[in-house]
Amino acid sequence: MNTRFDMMLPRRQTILGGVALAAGAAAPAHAQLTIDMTKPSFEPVPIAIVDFKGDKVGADIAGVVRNDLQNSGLFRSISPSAFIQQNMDPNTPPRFPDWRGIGAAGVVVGQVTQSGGNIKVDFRLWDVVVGQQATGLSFTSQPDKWRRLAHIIADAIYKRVTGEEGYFDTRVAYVAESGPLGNRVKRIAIMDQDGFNTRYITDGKTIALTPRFSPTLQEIVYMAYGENNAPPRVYLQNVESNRRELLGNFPGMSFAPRFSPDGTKVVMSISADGNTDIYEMDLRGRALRRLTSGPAIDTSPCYSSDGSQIVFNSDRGGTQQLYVMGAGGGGERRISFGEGRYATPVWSPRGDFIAFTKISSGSFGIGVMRSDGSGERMLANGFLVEGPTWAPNGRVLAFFRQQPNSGGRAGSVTLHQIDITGRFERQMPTQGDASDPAWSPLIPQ
Amino acid sequence: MKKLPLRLLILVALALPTAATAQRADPVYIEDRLNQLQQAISLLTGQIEQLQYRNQQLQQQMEKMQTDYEFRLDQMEKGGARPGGAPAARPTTPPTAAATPPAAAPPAAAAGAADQVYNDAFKKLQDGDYAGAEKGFRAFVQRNPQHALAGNAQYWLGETYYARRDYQNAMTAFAEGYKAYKSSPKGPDNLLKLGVTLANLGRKPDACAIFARFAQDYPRATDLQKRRIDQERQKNGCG
Repeated sequence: MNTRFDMMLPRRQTILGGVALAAGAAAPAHAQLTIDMTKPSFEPVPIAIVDFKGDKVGADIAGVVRNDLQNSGLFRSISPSAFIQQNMDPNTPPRFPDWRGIGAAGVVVGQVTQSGGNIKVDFRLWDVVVGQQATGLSFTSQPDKWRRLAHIIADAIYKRVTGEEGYFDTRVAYVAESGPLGNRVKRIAIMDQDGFNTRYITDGKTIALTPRFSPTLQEIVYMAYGENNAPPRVYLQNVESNRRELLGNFPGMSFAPRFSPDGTKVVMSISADGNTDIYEMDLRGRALRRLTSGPAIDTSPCYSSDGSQIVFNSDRGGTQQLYVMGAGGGGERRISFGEGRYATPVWSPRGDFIAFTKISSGSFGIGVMRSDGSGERMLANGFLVEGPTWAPNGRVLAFFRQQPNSGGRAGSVTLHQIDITGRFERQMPTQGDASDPAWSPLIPQ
Repeated sequence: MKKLPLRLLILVALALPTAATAQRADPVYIEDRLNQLQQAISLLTGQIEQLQYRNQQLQQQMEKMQTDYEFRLDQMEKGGARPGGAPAARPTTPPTAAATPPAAAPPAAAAGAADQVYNDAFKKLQDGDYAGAEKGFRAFVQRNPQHALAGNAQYWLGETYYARRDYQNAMTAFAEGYKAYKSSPKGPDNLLKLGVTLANLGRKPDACAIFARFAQDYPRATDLQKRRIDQERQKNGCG
């Protein structure tokens, strides 16, 4: 056992790279350390995450992992005070009966070591039910990036247990709102998915809305009002340098921008001569191409995950409905046929679903449908729910919710996440009021 | 006859009022007319989209019904047992020994008695006596779990419940059939009906999971059976 175990020791990884160890990774699915999140009902997987050894940041890392997994709704993090086995050696198998005794299906142990100015973190996920290692990985990074390391570890555990890609090592951009109702300050903020490391990337002098990430997370596009009541325009801003530029200089207003999946183009709506159509801008040559025409208002464009199609909404049929067309324009066909109006369509990164906001008989809902318009399902409803955005695994959505205040008017605004079955919703922590979230892709490692 | 030219004159005079001509040149009037036309067009566009959609849905429904009928007729012509379908449809002919030859021949007398129970139950099913058929098939399966017709009996037991819309018991019977008699000649029908029953119980994801097993479990199923599975998958929105 020990010899075999030694062979399974993780190899040293360089910058934030993770390699699954051969052992256990290919093990067959086990009854209790796996979860099929598409099932109509399931119990969260009980998991014990032991404070990582070797450095005091180890306890912090374990805390972030616990928080991520618990917040997914798919796991139940067992309180460390219930742990029977103490002072575990991270390199030997745990005493499985001790963990079975507290109802854990999996136990995570790890250690932190200093290596040449960096920290190296090894962890193992043990399948308590079968008494085997389920996965084990090793990561190295700068000491101040320990939160990212923790998110990456949580992603690895999530993936091992659910079979789906994780989404914890991501960021969320949103519109941070403050000030009185009549004079709201709205600026763009970016935070880690769990609410930490918030940064504001616009100054709030003018209202900025609809932030959207580039695929590399290096840039965001958003709409901001000009100073002295100049019409709103679309801006492209580098997240690191904060350098921003106007995307095209048109007489009318431009809004609702979004990157293509390959990052080479931005689609947006442009209003000219009282007519609103969808345009594509090639970022390499700044060439602008009109994709829709006609007197209707065409807006909220979003590319399909493979970049070949665009979903958007239009009132050409009398009410706001969803349409799909080729990425170069043309071949437009309506896909929404339910009661009410449909807005803000977003194509899942997996390509299978389109999420939308639906307004019918005065109430708002967040729903999903297949990309051909079939199988419509509502996930959340409320006084005001709007603006869905997909986590990179296409199995979780974020959106914003506004509660009526005591006077029945619009009250506080908060971000929420919900899984695609609509079963598990939770509020996402933000600094103050927040609306219109955009979930980033996984941060490039 | 004399009156006619006069009438025409009046009509012509009415058709060309000078006030109207002036109105038409008025930009406000033109814009108003344009707006009305635009509204009319979007209304029509919406209606056309709805009609196209309805039309497409009807077409799909028709095609589905057609293949369903073809499948059932085909089964009837083959003289085989009834596949899953409308609860009211009754089996036309009892399965013969030739259709499902016993794998291991039981002692002649016992076999004869067992066959009698099976055939009686089947007769009751045909006659619509579902409770009687249920008893017969259940007794048959209990006493002859290894009989070559046991898988068939288990399947028909499920059908007796299904026909009475007792989906809960139907589900149990079909699930048992899937577990115990997976390789029975009725295996594919049994799996299909298990899925359909789950869907009737509102457990679509489970139904989809069942349909998903079909290809793996029954790679040699007939095209009609495969098509039925595909239809059910579509109907239930299985991904």
